[in-house]
Amino acid sequence: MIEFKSKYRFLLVMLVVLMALNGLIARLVYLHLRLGGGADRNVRIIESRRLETDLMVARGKIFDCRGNTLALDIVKKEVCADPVLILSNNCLDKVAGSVGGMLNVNPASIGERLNQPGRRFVYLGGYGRSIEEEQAAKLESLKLPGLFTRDMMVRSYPRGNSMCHVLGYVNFDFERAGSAGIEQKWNKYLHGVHGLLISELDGRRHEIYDRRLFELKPRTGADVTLTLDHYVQYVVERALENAVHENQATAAWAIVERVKTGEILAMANYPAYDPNNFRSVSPEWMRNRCIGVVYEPGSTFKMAVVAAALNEKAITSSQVFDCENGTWFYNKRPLRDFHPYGLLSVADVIKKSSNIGAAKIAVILGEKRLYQYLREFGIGKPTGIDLPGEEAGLLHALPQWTSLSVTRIAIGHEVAVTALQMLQVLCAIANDGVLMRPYVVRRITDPDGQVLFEQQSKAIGRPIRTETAVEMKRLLARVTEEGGTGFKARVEGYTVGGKTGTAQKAIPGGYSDTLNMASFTGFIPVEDPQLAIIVVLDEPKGSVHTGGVVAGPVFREIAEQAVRYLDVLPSTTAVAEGKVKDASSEVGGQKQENGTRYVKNVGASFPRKRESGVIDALNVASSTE
Amino acid sequence: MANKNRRKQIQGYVIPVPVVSVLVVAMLLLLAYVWLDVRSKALGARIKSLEQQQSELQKKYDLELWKWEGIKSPKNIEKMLAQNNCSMIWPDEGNIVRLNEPTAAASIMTDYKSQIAQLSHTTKPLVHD
Repeated sequence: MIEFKSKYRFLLVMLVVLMALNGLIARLVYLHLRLGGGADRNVRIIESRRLETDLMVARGKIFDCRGNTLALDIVKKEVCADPVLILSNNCLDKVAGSVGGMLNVNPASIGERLNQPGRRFVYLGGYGRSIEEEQAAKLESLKLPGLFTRDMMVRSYPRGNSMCHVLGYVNFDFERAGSAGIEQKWNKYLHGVHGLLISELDGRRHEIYDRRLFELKPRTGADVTLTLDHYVQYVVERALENAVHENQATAAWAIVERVKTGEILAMANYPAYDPNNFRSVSPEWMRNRCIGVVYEPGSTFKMAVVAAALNEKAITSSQVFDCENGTWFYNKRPLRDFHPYGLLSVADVIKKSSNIGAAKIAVILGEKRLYQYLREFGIGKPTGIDLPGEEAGLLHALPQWTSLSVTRIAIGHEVAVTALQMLQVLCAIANDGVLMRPYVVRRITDPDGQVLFEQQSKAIGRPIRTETAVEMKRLLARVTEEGGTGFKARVEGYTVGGKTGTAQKAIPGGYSDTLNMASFTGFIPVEDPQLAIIVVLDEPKGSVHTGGVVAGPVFREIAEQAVRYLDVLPSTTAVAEGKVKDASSEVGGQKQENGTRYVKNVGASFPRKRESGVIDALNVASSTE
Repeated sequence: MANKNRRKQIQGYVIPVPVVSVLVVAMLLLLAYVWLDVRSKALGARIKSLEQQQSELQKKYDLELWKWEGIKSPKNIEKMLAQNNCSMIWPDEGNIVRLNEPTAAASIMTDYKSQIAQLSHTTKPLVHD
């Protein structure tokens, strides 16, 4: 009896438990197999639980050559809203008022944007408009229905408008593609790869980790290290800004390049813009004029012509030219000098920047050879710098030259160059005749530190021989001596070689009498050239607006700080320590005795070494000044 | 015939051993499953929280870097110097001491060699103390 009762009770309990379990299983099957309720309901359930999101990816950083960060991605907040929710809560005006004040946007326009009953999502303040974390916290503390903030990656340039024309900027679209400068040219390395996450959400809209179906981690973009130096760049930018204001110029631009490697240390334009806020800037301001604007170089071009003629041995530096007292008729058309000169040696043609002298040299050299040399120097073709938007310049093909072209090109007219091309000509001379490819990107490394790309210095041509280059350096050094057009570009303790340029601007129907481009192209120090600098001022106003007066002091301001900062040895120290050869000791590969003979012959002089060791030069014979 | 030992008789229904074994195994499996589930959920939550923490730290780091880069820019330094009435000048050439490495090394070697040479000529024994 007891056994039977016990068995009966056990079976009963088991039955109850089984029934309960069956009920639960049935419910689970019902829920999980989504029986009943129609397909729509099931889809809605799946969709409401599904999480599919792109994972934000940061673009690579951009560094200068000293590891300072010039561009990086930071997370900011964007303000979004659900108009349906806001309208149903009847708080349109309240939201528009609060957000408008915070975003500095007209509340009426926000109200208009929110008043869309059919939409569930709008960007307030506009697509890509971000706010700071603190502002976002303040906004969220208002607890306005339908108003929320989301994280967004923002490309940020901590140094504002510094290097803006080189760095470029990034668009606000989903891909965040670079649209100018380094950001554009090296976008494929910088942009990185978006991540993707497919998962499920719980009832509180939190992701359920163990329901992750797919996860592709975002891959951060590679970092780009430039050859630019932030301090040299700053010096250049400050000098340009001052020069534009002092001379009431329309614009100014400058480049600093390492002569022996082609590395660009600074590339600046004024006016500049803030790439953090590029949408409010006119496209004209965004143009990198150093490589994107061509101009007639004027007298700076003479150095290419004289170098070509010397290299061809068509002339010698001691050869004397009659500069016709300021006016020379060639093919019945007059060519004038800024100051009238009589007899000038080739050395003085450069020093005094005589148009007539340079034109006569070009005539002796001949059209064909002049054209070939200019092409060799890289005129009329892009330099190949690793930046977008480089202009090729303009050098007409030989058959298109008129009978006057040879004399006009010799003085930097009828030809158009970029500042970088002009600087390249000078660098080739300063680098013993070797033309180096200019570049701004030193290396690209992935986030793990692996080097993906590294750029080395590369020689791309040799337009003139070493002896010619040495001779040209000596001639260019005289330009900054007393009596030379580039006197104001002198830097204390250093010998500077260079050439001034003042070119009238071409206007419809001829050349303007009032508008011109003033420039100075120079290298420092002459004994062992380290840096080459070009400064161009567009439309300087004032009583004197020649390159020597306007651009020369800007060159000096840049050069004297750059050499100190980069620890370029002063001429005195370098010569004394025997690190470089004294430029005065040799003249075009000949010993100074020959040079002295030349002084006697034509009344010009060569640099000589003072007792103190400072390289100096005698002035030219007063009869030629 | 021996009497039945009532004390040794089992009262009630006896569940067969195989059933008990199956139930025990099932129970253990269930417990293991629950334990693993709880564990994986806890790990998932931890991973998620670490992910979030990493992302927050990265955000903070980038923001700090951004601020720092702005602070140490030459423009800002110059502004701060002006605000505090400080002016900086480049040192005079005469005040700069340049240590040329190969030259310095060579001079050290020369000194060292001359000391060695002196020592080799001395007649006194070297005493190390």
